[in-house]
Amino acid sequence: MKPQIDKQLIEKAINGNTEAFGKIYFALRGSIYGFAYRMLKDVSAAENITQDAFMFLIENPQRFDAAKGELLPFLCGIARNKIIAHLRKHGTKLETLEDEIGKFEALENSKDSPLNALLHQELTQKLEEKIAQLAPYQREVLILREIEELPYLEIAKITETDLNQVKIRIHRARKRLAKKLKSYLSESEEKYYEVSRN
Amino acid sequence: MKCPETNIQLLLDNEIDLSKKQKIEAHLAVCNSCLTEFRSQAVTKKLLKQQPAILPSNAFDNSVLQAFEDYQTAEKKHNAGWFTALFAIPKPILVVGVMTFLLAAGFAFQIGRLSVSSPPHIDLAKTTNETIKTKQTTPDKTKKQDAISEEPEIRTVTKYVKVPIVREKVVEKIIFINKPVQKTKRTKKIKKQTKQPIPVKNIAAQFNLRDMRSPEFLKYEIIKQGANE
Repeated sequence: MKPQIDKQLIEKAINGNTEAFGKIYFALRGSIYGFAYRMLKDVSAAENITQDAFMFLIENPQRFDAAKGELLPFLCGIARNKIIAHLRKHGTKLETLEDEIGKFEALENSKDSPLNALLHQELTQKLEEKIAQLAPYQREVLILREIEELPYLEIAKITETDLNQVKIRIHRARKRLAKKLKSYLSESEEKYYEVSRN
Repeated sequence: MKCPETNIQLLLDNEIDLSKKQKIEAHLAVCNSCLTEFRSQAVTKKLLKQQPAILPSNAFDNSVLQAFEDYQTAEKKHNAGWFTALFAIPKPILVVGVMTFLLAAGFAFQIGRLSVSSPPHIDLAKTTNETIKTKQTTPDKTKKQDAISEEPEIRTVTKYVKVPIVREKVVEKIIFINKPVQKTKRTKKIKKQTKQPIPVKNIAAQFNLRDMRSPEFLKYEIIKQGANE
C-alpha cells in the first residue's frame, strides 16, 4: 500500500517547513519518478518532471484540495500533464547506457543467487520493455494501477476520463502485455515465479 | 453465461461486488478459455507488482530539497514588505532618494498650481453636443447675479462619461461666459417643439401665412425659424 500523507504535514510543508516537505518528498518521490521514467524512458526528463510536480504543490498550494482526494493522485495528475507535453515535444527515447550499467551493478549487489537474480532481472527488463511498447494511454493506466496501486476512480481523475474508459484501457493493456510476455512465461516459469515470490 | 472478459479484470483487481464475484468464479470453473485468460492476466499482474521501484539519485534528492529551501528564502524576502526593504538600502542612497522624491513632489505641486490658475478653454457648444450626461449643482441666488455680469464664472461640473464597462467620474472646471442654465433650458424647449408636428391651421394663425403650400414645406419653414430663434 502507498503511504498516506497527513493533511497537517502537507500544510506544514506548504508553510515552509523543510522537514515536512522532506517527509512528503521521500514518501512519494518513487511513485512520481517511477511513473515519469516508465512513461518517457528518460532520466533527466523524469527528474525534471518530479521536481516540477513537487514544486508546483509548494508554489500553488491553493490548487490542492485535501477534501477532493489524496496527494499522490494530485501529483500524478501534474506529472501526467508534463509527461504528455514532453511526449508531444520529443517523443519517446530508448534507455541510456548509464541505466544498463546500473543494472549490472545491481546484479552484483543482489542477495539472491546470481542465476536467480539474473533470471529475475532479465524478466524485469523484458517486462519494462513490453510496458514501454504499449500505447501511452494504455501504459499510463497500467502503471498507475499495477505499480502505483491507485484505485480506478483516482486513475479516472488523473487521466481525465470516465471510469468505464479506465476499465477498458486497463483490460486491453493487461491483455496485450500478457500476449507479449507469453513466449517468456512458459508454464514452468509461471510456477517458478509463483513459488519463488510467495 | 456469456464469457465476461472485462469482468475477469475486475475480479483480479477486486473492484467487483460479491454477487458478481461468485458468478464469475462459477463461470471460470466451467469455461477453460476464460480460466486460461484469467491465469495469464493474474501472472502478468503479479509480475507487474513485483517490479522494483525506480528511484532517483541521491544528488537529485538533494537538489529538490535545495530548490525548496531556495524558494522559501525567496518567498520570505518577497513577503518582508517595503518597510524592511527600505531599511535594507544603504543610508546615503536612501537620503539621496528621499531628497529627490521631495524635490520632484514640490515641482509637481507647483506645476499643478499653475495649471489650476489658467484652466484650458472649453467650448460650451461642444460639451452639449457630446453624448455625456452632465450633472450640475443648482446655482445659488447670489451667484445668479454674477452670471448675468460679463465676467467669466468658474464653476465645477461633474460629468459622467459613458465607457463600455466602467463609469468614470470626471471633474472639470468650465468657464461659462453667459447664463449657462437658462441657455441649455431654452435649447431643450426648442428641440421638443420641433419634434411635435404642429397642425397646419395653427401654423397659419401663428405666422399669418396666406399661402398654404404643402405641409412638408411649412414644417421645414417652422424648423428653420425655430433654429434662427
